[in-house]
Amino acid sequence: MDSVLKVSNLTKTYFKKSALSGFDLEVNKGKIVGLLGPNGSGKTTLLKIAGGILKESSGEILIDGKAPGVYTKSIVSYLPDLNYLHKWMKINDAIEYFKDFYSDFDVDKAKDLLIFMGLEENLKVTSLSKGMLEKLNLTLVLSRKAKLYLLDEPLGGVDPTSREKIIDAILKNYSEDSSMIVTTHLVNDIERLFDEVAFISEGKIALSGNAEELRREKCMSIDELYREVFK
Amino acid sequence: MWNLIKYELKGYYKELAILVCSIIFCNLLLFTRINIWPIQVITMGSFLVAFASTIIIFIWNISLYNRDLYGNTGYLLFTLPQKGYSILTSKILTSFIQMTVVNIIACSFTIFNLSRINDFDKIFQMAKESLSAQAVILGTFSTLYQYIYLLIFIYFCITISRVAIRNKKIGKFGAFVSFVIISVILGKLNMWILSLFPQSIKVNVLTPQSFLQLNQYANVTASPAISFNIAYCIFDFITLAAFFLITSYLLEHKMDI
Repeated sequence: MDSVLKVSNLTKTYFKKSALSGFDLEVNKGKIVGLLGPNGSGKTTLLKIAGGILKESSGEILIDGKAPGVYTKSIVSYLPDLNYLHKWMKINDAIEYFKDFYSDFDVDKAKDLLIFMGLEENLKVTSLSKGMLEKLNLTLVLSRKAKLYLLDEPLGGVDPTSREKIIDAILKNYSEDSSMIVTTHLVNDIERLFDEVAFISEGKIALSGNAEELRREKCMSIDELYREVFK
Repeated sequence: MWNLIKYELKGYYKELAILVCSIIFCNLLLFTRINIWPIQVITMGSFLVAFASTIIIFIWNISLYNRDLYGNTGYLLFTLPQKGYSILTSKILTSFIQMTVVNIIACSFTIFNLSRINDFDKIFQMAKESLSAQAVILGTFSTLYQYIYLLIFIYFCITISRVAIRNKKIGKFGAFVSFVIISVILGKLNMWILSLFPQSIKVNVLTPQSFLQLNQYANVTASPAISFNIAYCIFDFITLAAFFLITSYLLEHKMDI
């Protein structure tokens, strides 16, 4: 199977603190991988390195066979866990911005997604609630035909109704030609998305495997397994 | 790169418009003082407005650069598939465009006020006849070069500090410290180069006719030319290129957001 992301013995340290230590992961084409772990376990650090905005201390990370750089940024669609849009922007400015910078951005898809999410194009970014911002950011990220999607806590701080909408949007707009990594600690809400899961603790993989096989093998849901691993 | 410039300008056109309106307002206020204050004072006031606007644009662009390196918008900028030199060049060109717009408007008022000074036409004609074409070209190029040099140098200091120090407050202080240290080192190196390689080229700033007139009138024997030390100029260009290349490299390869 084609490997879209290959992480080997990846380490990231901030002075004496280690965020990732000898991390290994392989994500194949067409798979949605849940990267699960408590706060501070290294999930965001891994996504930032893959997104090309953080440099690893050692080890190797390859996206479509290339180290993170200008090329990988053109095929990776990254959703950070904060609002990164300019305050002066309206929703249609954000759409135009993505269209201008990413050749794989699909404006029609973005407009459909906005309707699905219940967002109006002429709203200012600063007037949006946290949930609406999360929906907008997800709209922008999912409207690209990227090879790899990196979604960092897409459900963080979002009410249960919006969570359902976000999960539906991910499922509807996900393509078999792409791969996706979703980090979360709200496992129960999102576990139906995952083909594979990787539990991360203190910068290392604590447990990983096919989601369905793990459920069968351990006779528990991924959420229950999460509680078991991190208890 | 052009898209980066487009969004830098689009995002802050309101602030630029406010600055332009302030320039116009200040100059209109100065116009109300015509025949009350001496025209020289009004012209000086107009010149100060132009100077202050240039400083505001300069500081504003530095703070926008800081915002992208330390703020959340860095996630947007640095996940774009853009080379480091594109990001840096777009920042410089944006600043240059804003400075040009502001200076054209501010200087128009200054020139208008100057034109009201008695004998301005005579002074202007004299300056036109005295200054060589080289002097005008050199003066314009030198001003632009100095502006761009200083901007790139400051961007360089902010970037190396950002790469070396993650903490926002310490990082900004680190940029200031590195600016001072590098300025002192460059100053010492320049002095050393000047003493080691004194060879220079001369560029005439006065026309031969006006030079003769000046000599007769003021009985001076000074040269009509300005000297440029060759080694100093080469070193200056090399440091500018180095600051640009290192900053571009750090933006593309070493930023930890």
